[in-house]
Amino acid sequence: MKMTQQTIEGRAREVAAVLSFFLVLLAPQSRAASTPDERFKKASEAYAAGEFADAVYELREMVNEGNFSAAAFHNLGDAEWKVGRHGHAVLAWERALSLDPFSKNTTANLRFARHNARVDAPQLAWHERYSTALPGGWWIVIASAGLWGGVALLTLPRLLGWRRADWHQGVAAALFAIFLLCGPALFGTWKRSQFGVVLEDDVPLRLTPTREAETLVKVTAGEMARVERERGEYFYVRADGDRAGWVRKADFALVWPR
Amino acid sequence: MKLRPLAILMLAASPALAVTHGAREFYNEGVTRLGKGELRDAEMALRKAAGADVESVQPLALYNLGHVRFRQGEEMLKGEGNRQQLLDSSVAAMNVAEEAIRSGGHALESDELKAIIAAYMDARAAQKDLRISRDETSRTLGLIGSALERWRRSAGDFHSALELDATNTDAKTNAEVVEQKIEELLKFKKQIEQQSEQVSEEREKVKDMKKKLRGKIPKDMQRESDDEEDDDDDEEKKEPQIGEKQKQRLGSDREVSPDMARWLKETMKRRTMSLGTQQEGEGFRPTEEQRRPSQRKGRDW
Repeated sequence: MKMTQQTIEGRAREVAAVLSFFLVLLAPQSRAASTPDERFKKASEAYAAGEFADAVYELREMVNEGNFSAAAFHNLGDAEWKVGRHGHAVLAWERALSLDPFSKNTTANLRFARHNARVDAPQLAWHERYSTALPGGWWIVIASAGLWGGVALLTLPRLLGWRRADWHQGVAAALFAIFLLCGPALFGTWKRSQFGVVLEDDVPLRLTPTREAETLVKVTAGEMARVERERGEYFYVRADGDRAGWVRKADFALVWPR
Repeated sequence: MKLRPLAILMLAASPALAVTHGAREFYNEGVTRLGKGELRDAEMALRKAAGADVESVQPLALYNLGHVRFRQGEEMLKGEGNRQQLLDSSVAAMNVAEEAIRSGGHALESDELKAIIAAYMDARAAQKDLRISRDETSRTLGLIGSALERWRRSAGDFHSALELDATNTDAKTNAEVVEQKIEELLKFKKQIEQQSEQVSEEREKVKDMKKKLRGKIPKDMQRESDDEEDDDDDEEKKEPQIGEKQKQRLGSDREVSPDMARWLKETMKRRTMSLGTQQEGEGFRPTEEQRRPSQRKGRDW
């Protein structure tokens, strides 16, 4: 009896071992298989439960898989802020704002973070400010619609043999005007793509793009700077107050990664 | 007409050419200044050349910047004096202090007033020697700190030059030499720091002994100025409070008794003879500037 029992226990152990082996193998796949919605939900639950690091993990995975949205970035920013990674939080909120410039919550969070870190918002040129009125993608759509709509209205009636009407020319002129108005915004959007965020505290801006280069000045987490050049593992950036120097790519991230 | 595209091309390339030109000019200026020994100007020019981000100029500028900073460190160390002499003088001061403590102990045991006073005077002299040694050591430590800062930067510059141009073996050699120099200097720094600690301990011992000896000297034979000297000896002279400052300016309300006047006369004479400084020995006379009341040390009687 005792022997039989042992044999049964032994088999049970074998089966359990095989099962657990397969479970381990399947675990990453099942994790990877979770949909963006599931991840978002998991992250929200983790955030609500005060497990901010888990929320960061889920949202990051989601974003890195290409399933990003303004809401995901906004929540990622909140979670990053809670775990004390202020630079990463500002980056996430900036990304959220670039996707949805109308979000009052994100704007308020950014203002709060900057006030807290005693950092000013970046100084924008007029065309850059103008470009923030709409998400970057919208300007492209509007400009394309304006240009090609105008061209179509001028050419299609002739090609299709329609009778020429005054309104064709009027609408075409309006569409061209819209296209022209999009020009500065597109330029501003492109200029804003040079902005990035300092991720860590006391990051040195160096004289040369080398490991042991002289430190010119230090910048704080959450500060924004404009990338002027790039060489190897370094960006040459210029922050407010004309503070410029080389920064390691690991300590700095572009709002719109290239 | 054919020249127009060329002109446009040159016009477009002019900002880039200007940057290169500026970097080269700064580099040449820096090297010239370095040759002349004008290290500060050389550093400024070479920093500009290195910061101009011209790939052909940057490694060379960094290499020369390393030279400049190494020489700056060397210049700083010229003011430190003989290292062995510094160590020896500290040891000598500590030996004197040990001797003073020992004789103080004997005097206390014997309870003989004459021996106590003699031991007290020795302790005071020893304390003064230790103070001189401490001052000299802290001055040297300051110089070493500044030189180390320059040399570390120099090693960093050589490493950076090497990082940008891996074929620059001179930069590698120089970096190694500078690091070796830094190591040697750190060793010496550690040595004098240890000695400085010992000097501080010894000063505390001497101070304690002085207190004990002073306790044995009758009040009427004590000099108030000794207290002041003890205060001067403390490393961090406490800034007097505003109220105290006011008091000093107004003077204390004590009256000078005939006994005190006699004692003052005696001690002042004794002080000039026994503990006179070199200036006093040579017939030091205060200048008009030094005679001003604000410059006076001690109390108004």
